[in-house]
Amino acid sequence: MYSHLLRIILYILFTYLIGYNLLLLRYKKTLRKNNLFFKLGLSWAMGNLILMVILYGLALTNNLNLVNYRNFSLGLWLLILITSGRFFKNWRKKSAKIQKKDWLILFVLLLFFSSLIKYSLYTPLNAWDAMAIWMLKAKSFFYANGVWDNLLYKNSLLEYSHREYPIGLPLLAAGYYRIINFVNDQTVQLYLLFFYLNTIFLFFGFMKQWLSKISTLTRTLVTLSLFILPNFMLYAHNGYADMLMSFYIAISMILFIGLIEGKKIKDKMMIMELLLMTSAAGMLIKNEGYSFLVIVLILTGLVLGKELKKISQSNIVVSLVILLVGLAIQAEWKHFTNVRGLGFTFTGAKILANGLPRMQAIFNRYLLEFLNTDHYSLTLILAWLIAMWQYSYLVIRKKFRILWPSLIIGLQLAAYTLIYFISPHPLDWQMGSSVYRLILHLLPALFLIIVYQASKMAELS
Amino acid sequence: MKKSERLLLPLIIFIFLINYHFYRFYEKNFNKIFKYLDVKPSLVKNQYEKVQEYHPFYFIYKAAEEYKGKEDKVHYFYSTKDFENELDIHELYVRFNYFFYPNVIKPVYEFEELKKIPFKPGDLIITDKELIGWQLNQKLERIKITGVAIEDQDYFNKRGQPFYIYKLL
Repeated sequence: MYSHLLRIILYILFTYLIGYNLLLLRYKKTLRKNNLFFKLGLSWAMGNLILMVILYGLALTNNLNLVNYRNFSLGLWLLILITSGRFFKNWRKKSAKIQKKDWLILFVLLLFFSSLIKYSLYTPLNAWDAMAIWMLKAKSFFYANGVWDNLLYKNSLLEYSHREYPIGLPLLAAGYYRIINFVNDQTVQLYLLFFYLNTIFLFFGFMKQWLSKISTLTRTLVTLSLFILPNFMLYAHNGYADMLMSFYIAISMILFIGLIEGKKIKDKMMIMELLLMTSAAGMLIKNEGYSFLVIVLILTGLVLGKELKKISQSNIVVSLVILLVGLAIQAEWKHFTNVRGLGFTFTGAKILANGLPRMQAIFNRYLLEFLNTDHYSLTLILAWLIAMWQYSYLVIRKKFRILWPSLIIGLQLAAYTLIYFISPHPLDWQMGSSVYRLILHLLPALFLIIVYQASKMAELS
Repeated sequence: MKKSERLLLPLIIFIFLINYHFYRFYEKNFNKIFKYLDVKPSLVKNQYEKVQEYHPFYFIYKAAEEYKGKEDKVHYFYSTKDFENELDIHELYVRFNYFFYPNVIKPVYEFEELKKIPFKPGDLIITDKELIGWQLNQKLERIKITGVAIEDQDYFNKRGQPFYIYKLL
């Protein structure tokens, strides 16, 4: 009899392998160019995206009963066989050997977070939104085979669970519940923790790539300093969806920078496809994902500009498939929410008469949050100071192309501000219960931008 | 290591130590739960029940387990419901619905309504209000509320507002 612990480890492995093998099918070259940490992060991102798409499809057609231990085992064995075959074919190649040091650093990072890993496994679920929204829905998808026969979407007493919210996180958790045939809301937190850990891996890998001249010790210390902030600790695995958003925004940021810096058109188009997928993943997780996708699509179009004319037929086909799958899921989900009369998150939103004082109050609250050392230690203040200095330097030197990634953060923050501005809810309540989580979405991306800009400034000087 | 990096390293170490000070606070909290529960990771043994004992709403979870299939014997008295403010939800109600799902038990909002219920011995009342001393038609006993004392609850798993569980005699 295998324990739930062993099965959550297998579920995590399963997700990595799905993502890794999918990447090898089409993005082998992109993957080969990057280090172990980026490979891990990208595999995790793709694996979860594929799982969410499959689970969304099954939930919208009431077929979640297909997710069970037998089918999972079959899939896992198949993935292990395929991956092992690839590994033995390539193990003598040099590229497979040079990563020994990276594996060692990975081990050190995991060792540093060992108490957090243990805590994620053996702690009862108790966070408010986790029990009211996300994990309640996960539980509902354990008992129901989809959205149509789901009690949660029929009973008005559970209206507080924001039933119109996307269901990516609940479905990923429910997938595990179905594999173990038990609602284990303790061990599933290890799965959620991997979004946090992979964000760290991505950042470390990004530093390794862009600040290659600095030592491993400095790189490790900087990474740990940035990611052990209290706000990360609070949301690393507690059943909220915010760390998932942070992760997808961070990886999209890395890909967007790759797009700006790419030399060959062929490589850039591959990165564009990956960027399309990672930025679309956000809308399966949280409502904030919609604005993020629109921002990334517009900026990607502007960055590529005339180069878009050189896009190959296969790139067009893959991009269309990604967009069509995304649209199909959204259309079916909207159809379901309309049939059930679940409403829209911003129903009642309007521009209020007290617009100016409201905007002032929003900015004051932002400022208070930026200066909140309880949530971010001194790091956010320092990060802003460094970023401001970098912006001044780059503007004076007229290096506007390097500032493109910052537009993503700026526009996403503008989208959040607009929501606060038109929201029908009391501002104090809404900002008081969400602003630190919205900052959390953008924080890893801000750290990545600072590293990128530092690297470019070093090149310029 | 380059000279500029050597110059920056003390500052980086200093920031790391400040941030680690915050992280250490959480690490201590993590250790608190392990000390209380005395669990060891196992690949063959499930420890869900044991860990759940640490939950600040453990007895709500336990009641949901014990009354599985007998949900008609469970009553929720929601005395602090604010009908004017939909955003104001008692944390007990959120936990109650979570643990009892897929059963959704309709709450009773008024004490007069509660008094009209034809209770049977063994029925359970879960509520945000102290009922001892109030004129219910049957006698009731208060059940121990939580598996872990409030002072032993860690930073993450603490209980906010009070709640009560009564068994009808």
